[in-house]
Amino acid sequence: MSPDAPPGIRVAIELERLTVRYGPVVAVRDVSLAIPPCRITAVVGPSGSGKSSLLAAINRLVDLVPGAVVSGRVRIAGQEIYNGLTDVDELRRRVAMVFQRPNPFPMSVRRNITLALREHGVRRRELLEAIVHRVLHDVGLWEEVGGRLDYPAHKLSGGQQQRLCIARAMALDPEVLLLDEPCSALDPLSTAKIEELLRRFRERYTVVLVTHNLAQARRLADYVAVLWQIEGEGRLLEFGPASDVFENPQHELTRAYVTGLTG
Amino acid sequence: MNGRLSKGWWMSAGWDTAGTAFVWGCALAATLALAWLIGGVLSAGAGVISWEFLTSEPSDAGRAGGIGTILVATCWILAVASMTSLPVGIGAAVWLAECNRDGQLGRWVRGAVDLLAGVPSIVFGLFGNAFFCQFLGLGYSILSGGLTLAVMILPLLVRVSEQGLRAVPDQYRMAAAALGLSRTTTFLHVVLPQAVPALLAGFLLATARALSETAALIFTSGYVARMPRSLFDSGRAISVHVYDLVMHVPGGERRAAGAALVLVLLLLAIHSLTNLFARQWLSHVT
Repeated sequence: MSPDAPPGIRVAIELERLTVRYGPVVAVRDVSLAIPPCRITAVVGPSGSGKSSLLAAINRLVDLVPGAVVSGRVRIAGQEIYNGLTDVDELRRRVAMVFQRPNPFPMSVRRNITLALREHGVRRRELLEAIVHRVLHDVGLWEEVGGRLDYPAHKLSGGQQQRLCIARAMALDPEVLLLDEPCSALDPLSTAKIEELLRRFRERYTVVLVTHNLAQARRLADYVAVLWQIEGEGRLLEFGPASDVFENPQHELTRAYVTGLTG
Repeated sequence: MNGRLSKGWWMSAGWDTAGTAFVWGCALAATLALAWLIGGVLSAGAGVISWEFLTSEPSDAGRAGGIGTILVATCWILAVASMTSLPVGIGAAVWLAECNRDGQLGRWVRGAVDLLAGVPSIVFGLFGNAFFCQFLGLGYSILSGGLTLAVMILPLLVRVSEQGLRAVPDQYRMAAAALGLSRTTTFLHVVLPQAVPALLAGFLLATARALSETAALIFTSGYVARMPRSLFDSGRAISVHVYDLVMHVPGGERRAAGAALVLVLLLLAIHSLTNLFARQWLSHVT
């Protein structure tokens, strides 16, 4: 479904002086980032540093927040997304998102996955069934709920619900997977399963993972962006390969943060 | 304690007991009011009710016969009222809940709807008479009465439906948007199914309100107790029938009590149904 990226482009998502405001409040100011494709990029930082706002700017979900204003540039596979030409629904199909709290729709497991597929033009029954089968397999839910596709999604455990939400997003064959603290509402076992999934997806998707859990970022991330609230505004402190940021941070605040002295 | 922390007079056990007894009494009084009302209607009207009474036409200005034609006219009026107010009411609720949740325009519309809810029903009756009966030339008819009731129950329908739609958690709207679902799909497949019990409860409440209305109908659907042949015929609603028998027909009291009992039973039935849906809705949301 997605066109291949032109050769030579090694940037999946490019933010250029991205600023997100909610009325008078500046959540993120002047963040420039080049997020590489098919890697896990973790966005870390204390509460209020603008991590979630940055994430919501990448699929334009921030459009839904009354009073939100975005300035700067966001390019995905080279294409600017903040202009009148962008088909926002198609953008959100390509750039999938998973939320902090599992939020499956109050309907069956199967319908949770097929609803959006039908909306995006997949109608044939066999194809729908095949996709349901594939994505549930991918997230390791097939063994657990494969025989209960008509079971209400709300009856699943929290960890299963979150994996269903990931499956639901993957069914649309996205290029980018945005995750907003996907494990913060889950127990350690469910968290381990999701981390295992993300490790396997690393080659297939460009993953942007917002987390306030530094240990998780250490376990998963190839690249790390550190956001910090400075004078009430979210700023980018540091961005680079995970090993550099964790072992040899350039910024004093980053050093204190990653060594657990502050944050 | 050195005497510095002494109990105030209001802290004695006697006051607790008295306070508890008082609120118990109040709760009992509220319940007794209903029991007294139902008991009164039951004792006065139970003897009148029979299959014959429910199906036959009133005769001798209502002193004899039954309420068959009255029930038919009531159903027609309710049908007109609900069929016209339902789409408008739910449409307005959807607009308020999904399209203009916190906007200035939404606040104005909500204010207007609340004002409409505060208008006394006799004023609706006069308005309905002037507008539907005279200006639109519909005369005293089921249509005039039903449309007047439709305007009257609209605020209730709008506000209950809006509450029901707003109670659907936003996380579903966010999840749907993040999957690239259109607003229409999100509303029809994700939001609406969860709000249906609340919408039904609102509809039933509004129907109960319409069923018990008298003042708005006296000047609009009129008094004619014959079997209505079309929507343009006058028809006598059951509450109007009770009012007329008690006020204008000496010797009509027994039949009035019978009709009142039927009315109260219908209202009880509607309220039980409403409760059923409301409970189902609550179990859905939580």
